[in-house]
Amino acid sequence: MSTALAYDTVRRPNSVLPAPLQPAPVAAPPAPRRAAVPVAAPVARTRVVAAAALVGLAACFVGAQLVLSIGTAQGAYELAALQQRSDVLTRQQQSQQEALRSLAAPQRLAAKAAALGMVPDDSPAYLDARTGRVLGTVDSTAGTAAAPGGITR
Amino acid sequence: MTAGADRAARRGRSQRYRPAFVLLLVGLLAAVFLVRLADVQVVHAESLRDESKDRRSITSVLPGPRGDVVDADGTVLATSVTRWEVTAVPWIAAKAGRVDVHATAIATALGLDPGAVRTALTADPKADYALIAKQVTADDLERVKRLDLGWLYYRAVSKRTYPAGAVAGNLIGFVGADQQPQAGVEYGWNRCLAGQDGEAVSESALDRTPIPGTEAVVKPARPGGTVRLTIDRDLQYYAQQVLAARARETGARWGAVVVSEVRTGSLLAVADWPTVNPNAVATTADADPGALGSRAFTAPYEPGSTMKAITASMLLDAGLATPRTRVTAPYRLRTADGADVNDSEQHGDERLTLTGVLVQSSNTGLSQLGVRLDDAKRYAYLKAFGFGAPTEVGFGAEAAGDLGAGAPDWDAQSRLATMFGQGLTTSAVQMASAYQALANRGVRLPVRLVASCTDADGVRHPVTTGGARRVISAKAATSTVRMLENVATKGWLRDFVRIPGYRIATKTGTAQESDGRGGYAEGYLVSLAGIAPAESPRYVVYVVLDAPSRMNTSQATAPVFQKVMSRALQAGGVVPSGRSSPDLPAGW
Repeated sequence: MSTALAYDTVRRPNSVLPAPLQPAPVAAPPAPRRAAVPVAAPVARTRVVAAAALVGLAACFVGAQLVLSIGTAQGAYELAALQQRSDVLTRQQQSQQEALRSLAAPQRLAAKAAALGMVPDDSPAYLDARTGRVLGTVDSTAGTAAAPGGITR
Repeated sequence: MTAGADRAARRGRSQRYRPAFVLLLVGLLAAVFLVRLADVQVVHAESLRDESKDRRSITSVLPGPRGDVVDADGTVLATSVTRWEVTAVPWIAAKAGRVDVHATAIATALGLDPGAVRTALTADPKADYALIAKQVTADDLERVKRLDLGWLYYRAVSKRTYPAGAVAGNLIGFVGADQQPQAGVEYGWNRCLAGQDGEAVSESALDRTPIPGTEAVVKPARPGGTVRLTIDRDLQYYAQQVLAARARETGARWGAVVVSEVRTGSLLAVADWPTVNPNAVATTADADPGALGSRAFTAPYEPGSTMKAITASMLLDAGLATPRTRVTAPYRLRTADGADVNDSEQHGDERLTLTGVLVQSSNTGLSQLGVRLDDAKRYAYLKAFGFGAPTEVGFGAEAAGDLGAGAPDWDAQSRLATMFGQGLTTSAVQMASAYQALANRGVRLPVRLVASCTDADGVRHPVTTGGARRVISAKAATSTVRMLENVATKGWLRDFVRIPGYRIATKTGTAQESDGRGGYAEGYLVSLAGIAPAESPRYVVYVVLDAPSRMNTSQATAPVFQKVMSRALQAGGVVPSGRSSPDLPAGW
């Protein structure tokens, strides 16, 4: 009979388990190789535990990795969507600002004011608060906006 | 049992060699990898890298936007906006099918001709690239993006725009179709305004377009700085508007208005007519190429009698005359050395003071007093007032002006003529600057158009243009302003230049214009320089109109001065003078 199986702790773990529990003071001395069995038994058991732990750990890692990458991917999508939204808003803001600046140009304001019937006051008059005197005349004015040849755009 | 023992022994041996064998195998494998690694990383590294770069990556430009030009209050006068270039990949479009339908949809979204879009897409159905539209606005971009066509690509491009249009267009200048500066501050201050483009590398998809998310910045873009002018946009607009109206009314060839702040030397407005609209340069370029710049800076002309006030101030400073110095002014004056000058209107001999000479604008009177001053000294005064050299602004193609042939060794005629503004040339800005010196108690300040350059990091670099320089004494300057007040109250334009509530000082000029052949042409160049409030000067307004055909006297300029100065005083919150100008005797 081959003794090779004695090394096969994984395949036959139970065959060696009871050995350390049974003291054998009177038993005939076994084959010298068998003497190694009681030493090997605890090692085998630790290895099983270690292997299981490793596999478990790996599974945990894979699981965590999966969760993390799903999270990251989700975050990336969210980021991309927000980035896109931010780009659109930036473009809108720039476009609005462009329109506002163009509307705020003096010639356009003047045209709007003229449309409301307003004229620029070319000859301002002042009231001296101490004497009550009016400096200048408060005539109505044709205004410069009505004159031809000015800037229109 | 011996056979079994043998087997076991062999097994034992083979078990001993097995690790060694595996180790050898691993070692060999590692060696192979190492060799290959060295081959890839070291031996062929360069060529492989180049090959991969060509095949797998795209280098794109990150635009470094051009900086803004703003007015004294920070109102934007020139800025850069983003436009988009829309391109397509025709072979994918062809593969996707329904090109006609898509072409129509794209054309509708962008406001283009559907036929043109279809042609662009189908001209070469195997092409990787077809340009659909340039200069697409953000709104149009959103519309075309909503079509959700995967084979359309968008590239942002920068476009220069001038929100206030023609307001200060003469000063700001413009850029060409390639967005490169061509005139004005855009050109002269390009070093501050220009941004530096960056570079990004991204991985390429099958159709040679960048894969989103793979972009890596190799060199970051650097935006340009902001140039702040000394110009007040609203005053500039008003000056342009008033000038344009008057120039058309009087049929002038061109005109300019310069508003200068006495205490800083800053230009608050420099209006030109005709003027360029930087948003539509081609229109001006076709109609009047001379209007593309600013004639106030670039056009030299013989200024005429506005120069008399400058000459008079030199006489006062040199102690050779006072406002009451008497002279008899004939209509025509012939000197022993052959000079021959006359006044603009026929008159008998008039007994005038120096003040009266200015009020009547007498050439003969001023010539007799002016000869008291040594020519070399007068030349030095002229230089000190800023004539004969470009101003500190350094505007593109700025005119230096010419103080006359052989100056200061003028011939007999030029010697007298230069005293009253003929036979020498100046620019409008130079003349305004000389009056700034008169108004600022004799101290000429460097002319400023650009206040500062603020770089992209927010660091402000003020523009230094040299120091102030005393040209004449404070007493001489003040006396000259008093004399000019009498011109404003007694001169023939007194009713047209009056600004109720304020003391003003003015001098007109009606100059004959050189015909370019050594003689004088038909038309006159009319001008008016004014200072207000005279008791504590704040502003100088100088108006010039070239050859007004319907009114060829300086009266053409008076309403422009009156309105622009009124507005400047009003906008500047200047308290009315509260008393009238002193009365100096004009005759004896």
